Amino acid sequence: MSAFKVGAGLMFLGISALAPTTDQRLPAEGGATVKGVAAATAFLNTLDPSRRAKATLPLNKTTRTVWSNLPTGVTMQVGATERNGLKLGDMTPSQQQAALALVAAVLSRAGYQKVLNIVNADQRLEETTAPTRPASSRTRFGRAEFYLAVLGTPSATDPWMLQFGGHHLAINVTLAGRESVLTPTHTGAQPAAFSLNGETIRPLGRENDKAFGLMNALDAAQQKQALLDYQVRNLVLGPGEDGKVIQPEGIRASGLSARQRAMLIDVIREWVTILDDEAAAAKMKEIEANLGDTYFAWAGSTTNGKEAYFRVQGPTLLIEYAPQGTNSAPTTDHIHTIYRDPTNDYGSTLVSR
Amino acid sequence: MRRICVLALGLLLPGSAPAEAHRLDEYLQATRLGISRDRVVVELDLTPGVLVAAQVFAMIDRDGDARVSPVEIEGYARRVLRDLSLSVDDRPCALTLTRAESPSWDEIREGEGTIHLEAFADTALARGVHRIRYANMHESTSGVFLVNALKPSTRAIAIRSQRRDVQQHGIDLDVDVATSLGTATWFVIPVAALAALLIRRRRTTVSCR
Repeated sequence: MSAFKVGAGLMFLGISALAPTTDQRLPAEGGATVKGVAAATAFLNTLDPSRRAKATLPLNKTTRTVWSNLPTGVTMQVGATERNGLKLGDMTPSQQQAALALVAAVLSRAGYQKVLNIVNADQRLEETTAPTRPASSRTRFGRAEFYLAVLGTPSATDPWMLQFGGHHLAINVTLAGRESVLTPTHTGAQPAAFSLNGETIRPLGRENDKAFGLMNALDAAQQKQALLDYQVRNLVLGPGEDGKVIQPEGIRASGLSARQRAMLIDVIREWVTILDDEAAAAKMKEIEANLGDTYFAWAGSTTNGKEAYFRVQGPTLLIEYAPQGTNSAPTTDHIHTIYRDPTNDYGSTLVSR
Repeated sequence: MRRICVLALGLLLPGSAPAEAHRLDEYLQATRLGISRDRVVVELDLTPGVLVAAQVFAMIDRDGDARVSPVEIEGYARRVLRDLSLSVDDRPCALTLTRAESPSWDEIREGEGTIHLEAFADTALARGVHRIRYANMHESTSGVFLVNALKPSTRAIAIRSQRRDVQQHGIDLDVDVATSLGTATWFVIPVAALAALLIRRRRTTVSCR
């Protein structure tokens, strides 16, 4: 049994109940579904009927696709004008605490910290942009604009789903018995690096550094295979692009050395292990079994600190990492990523059982 | 089936300014190509940045009322289609518009509104290797382009190679079309082989209908 600070590191401005001193003990092991059901029940029990109605939705092929990378105030790619669920800004401090405990219950410790770091980055973005935002703008960033939704009935055996998302974050976890699925999930960051309590936070720093490490571990011939000879300015299969598979490009992992394959696995792990440890381990085993047929593609500079897009694509995996720079203003300070499983997004193999 | 719709309507409000965190002076244009034996589908997502939003919206909102009518978005979609080119084995293919959706001006001016277009070209890809060539030259000076081929849904069609220009205005695809194998493989193979012999001279003929 290990202690885990649910609210650690999160900038809860003006909400003392969610200050970093908040402790919640979570089992170090055990099925995420069981923990998730308990945490979901606890969260829903904190809500009055109107908030509970907002936070809960039926689980079906329409509701589960409502998520986005976009900030509040912008119509999502799927046409919805608001995310599913109840936003943190409409919760009391104790409800927020229960909401975050639910998110933590279905994720790994590192995954939950990544989520907090992304929320913190968006809070920073809100603080820096709000003063100059036009009064007419409906766009909102920041912690208060992150939504939690429970789709279906939390159950230890039957499928249900948890969504937690806001600008630059869409966590979609489908749970069914001992299995849980994280795809599709979007992570992003702006700023990509910021200071918090004297510490430099890089929400997607490991993803970036590990990928640059791999690219620079390839020899010249391998790099040539991995490099796309064109610029890539955005995600190809981002939010709203469910069910699509693009033609793979880049270097096949079957052409990598054992050390390089291990480095590729380490890159992939940054997305997969957002999910709870048990489910992530099972997913990594599946990905490693298909590794020979997995492609790694790169566009942009190979110098860490400069702008570069990369993609990892295998039979049950798609990862894209796309800096959002422009031709006139390249940047590494605004990142979008996507993580998909073309064979099992939304746990489609579990839900259809 | 033809479907032209407008998702949302908005009023023109003064005083818009660049929103942080978004593309500013670029017009993001992302194309996905879906290839089947008898059709190439072109999906195009168009997202104008804040600083080019008014210029793009002016092309859509022809009557200047700050609202998008079905006629206006269809008109803009047809204008975009004129800037696209698609060919199969160097034979130009006509694109038929099937979908055009526009967000409101409120969303476009914040650099977050995406216009969705969809069109298709009828083709008749016979067995053999074909060169499919697509290019998008719409607003090419402010445009930032993505173009990708979707993985064909049947193993009978394989994309052997793909080449793009640096800016991704266009893509050349070498597509290998095999005989379609269904569940009646043992029946189909000999029949197809015989048919292939009979039509050998025409095996790489194609085209856009």
